[in-house]
Amino acid sequence: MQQLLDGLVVITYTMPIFIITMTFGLPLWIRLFVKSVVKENSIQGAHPFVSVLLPTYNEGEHVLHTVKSIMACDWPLDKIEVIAIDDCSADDSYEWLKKAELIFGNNLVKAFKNETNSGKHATLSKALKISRGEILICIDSDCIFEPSVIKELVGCFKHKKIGAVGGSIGIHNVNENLITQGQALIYWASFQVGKMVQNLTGKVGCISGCLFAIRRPLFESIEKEISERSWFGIGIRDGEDRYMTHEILMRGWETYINPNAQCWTAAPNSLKDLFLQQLRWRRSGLRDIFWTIRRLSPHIRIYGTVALLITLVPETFTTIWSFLLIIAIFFISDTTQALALISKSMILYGTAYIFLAIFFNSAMTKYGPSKQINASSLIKLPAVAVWHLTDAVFGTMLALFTFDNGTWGTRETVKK
Amino acid sequence: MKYLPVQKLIISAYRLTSFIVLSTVLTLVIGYLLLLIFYTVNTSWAAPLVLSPSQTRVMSFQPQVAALALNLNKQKGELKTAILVKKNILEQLINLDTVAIKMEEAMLAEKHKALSTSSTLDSLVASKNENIRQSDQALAELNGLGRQIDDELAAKLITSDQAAQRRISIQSSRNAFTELKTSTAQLNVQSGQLKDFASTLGGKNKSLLALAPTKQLMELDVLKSQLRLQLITSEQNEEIVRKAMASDNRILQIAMSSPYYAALWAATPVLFIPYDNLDRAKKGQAIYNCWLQIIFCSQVGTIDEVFEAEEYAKHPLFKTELKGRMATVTFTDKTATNSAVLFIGSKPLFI
Repeated sequence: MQQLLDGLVVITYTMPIFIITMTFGLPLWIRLFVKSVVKENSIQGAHPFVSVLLPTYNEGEHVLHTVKSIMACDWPLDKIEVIAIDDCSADDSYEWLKKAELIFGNNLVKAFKNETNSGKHATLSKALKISRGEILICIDSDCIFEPSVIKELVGCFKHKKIGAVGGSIGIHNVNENLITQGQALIYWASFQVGKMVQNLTGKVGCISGCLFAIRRPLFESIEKEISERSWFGIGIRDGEDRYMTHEILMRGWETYINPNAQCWTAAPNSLKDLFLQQLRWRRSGLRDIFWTIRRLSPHIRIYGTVALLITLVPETFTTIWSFLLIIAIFFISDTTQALALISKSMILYGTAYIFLAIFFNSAMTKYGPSKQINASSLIKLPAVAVWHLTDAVFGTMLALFTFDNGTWGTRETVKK
Repeated sequence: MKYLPVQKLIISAYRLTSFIVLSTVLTLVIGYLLLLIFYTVNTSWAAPLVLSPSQTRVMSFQPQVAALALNLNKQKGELKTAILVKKNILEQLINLDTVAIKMEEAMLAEKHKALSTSSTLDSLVASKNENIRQSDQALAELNGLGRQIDDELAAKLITSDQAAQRRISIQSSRNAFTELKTSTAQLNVQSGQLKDFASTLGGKNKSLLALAPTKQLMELDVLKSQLRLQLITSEQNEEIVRKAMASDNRILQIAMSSPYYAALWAATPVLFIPYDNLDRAKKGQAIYNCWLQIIFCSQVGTIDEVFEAEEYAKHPLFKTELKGRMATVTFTDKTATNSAVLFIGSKPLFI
């Protein structure tokens, strides 16, 4: 038994190294040295009509900035529309949408409001019905576009096999606190590096709902399934972006992340909001793993073994590591050894964050110092590693045992 | 629709499992954190241990105790020998003293006797000298008689035989005179010798004969000095052995009162008390055992004795090595020896 525990401790120490290598090390090498990871996407011929679907919930005045950034994109104004639907916000988001409509005219910006709080996907479905674009771009209501986003996204659809394209999501409130700084790094590592391996295979496992471009017919074909998604009869309203991406892939399409399609969103700046967000993402990730394993044979046939492994392994190993960590901490009788285990893991992650920050700041130079992490904060960054421990011990367990909760946790109507 | 009851069942089972698992995890985490805080501030915990005959430390105790006992027995033998040797030396010293005293007395007696004899001889010598003086006078007259004899012989007044007889008689008188002188001289010499003898016995250096007993007396003194040195050495040895015995005996008594010794014959429950918590560890203090380590406590025994020897044991939670002392406990509840931790003096949370 002691040998088993000793082996468990060794694995628990070494697994983060493997996970970091798989999710960052290898993809970084690919990003730097494999040219084909970024596809050519110049627009040829006429610009397709693009509908930007904007479900809104409690964003206040920020939605106006979002709409303005969309309108400021390098895309013909006669080839774009914004369908903005407020999902019964508790604040004045709808009023700001109406103002945007007034500013840009309701040819360009159409503002609506749900009768009841319906969730993001139901709102998107409604926006789909109203829209008329060939290419649909689903975004979050706090998303600020870089001018080239629409061009970068739409240009990828010249590749016939691509069914959906995602962009690179950055954080515009980078230096608000240590929480946002940590997330800025994770977002960058994920969208600019981590997903590049999946780009090579054409099987990006999850395109973020923050910036999700899809062919209209494809969206229409999967919309019903997304709306009727349930878990043993309980309606699921979260993680629709992952589910949509998965459905698109299972239909034989390719999915792709264009690292040059940059938009900015606000990261949660409190531990509570961060935890709820991560819980939601972890839950959708776990559901996705179980769904994949449950239908392994068709997945192998459609994805191919390599692509499936690339999609499945990091997430699965991260989950396994959570359990190993819990078992190691609670069942190692020597508290000192357990604390040493935790400390070493934290040091590993903490050191990784320092290196990540150096890469990040270098990459963000073109966007200016407001998008970079303050140099004075670099020394505090390893503290973010504590989040990984908390997330591993509590987040995964909570996500695994709350599959019956299909809500967002942050989008339900809050009474004034 | 037919799957609806199954779905509901699955959901219910899932929710129940989720509740149990998450509650357990939460309880474990909170409980663990509380335990961490508790052990950081608590100063009354102690760890029960059971010393068994098969434990290495207990087994290694036996040869140590045996070696101590053996050493003590050897020392007892050495002490007996030392006492005997000392007694022997003392007896010899007494004997030598007695002999020396006797010798001195004899020498004194000899001296007195010699002086007395010498005095007597001196008187005789004086008498003889008077006789010699008187004889000298008579001898001088005899010399005249010799010439008279010659004259008478020549005068044929006496015969040759008569002359010879007279000459013989004169010679005999001369011989007797010489004998007297000789004997007087001898007496004088003897007197002198006796005086020298007495003088030497009194401390002077005149008579070789008298030096012999003096030499013997001195040899006795040397022997006595040697014996006295041996006596001192013997007394020192005895003292050393006594002290060593006292020390070893004390160590042996301590060893035999140690719980490790008691554990040689049967499993012995003891309590490890870290130094930080020793203040509460006194004879007669109550020992408490608790459910889940810290709550719902009850008294399970009392402390008998706290030992001085430093011991090592592991912290029940942190598993770090600690220094402290051991105490023997009289347990009223034997099962308490299986607990990870016990508390001294009072219930830790008063529940």
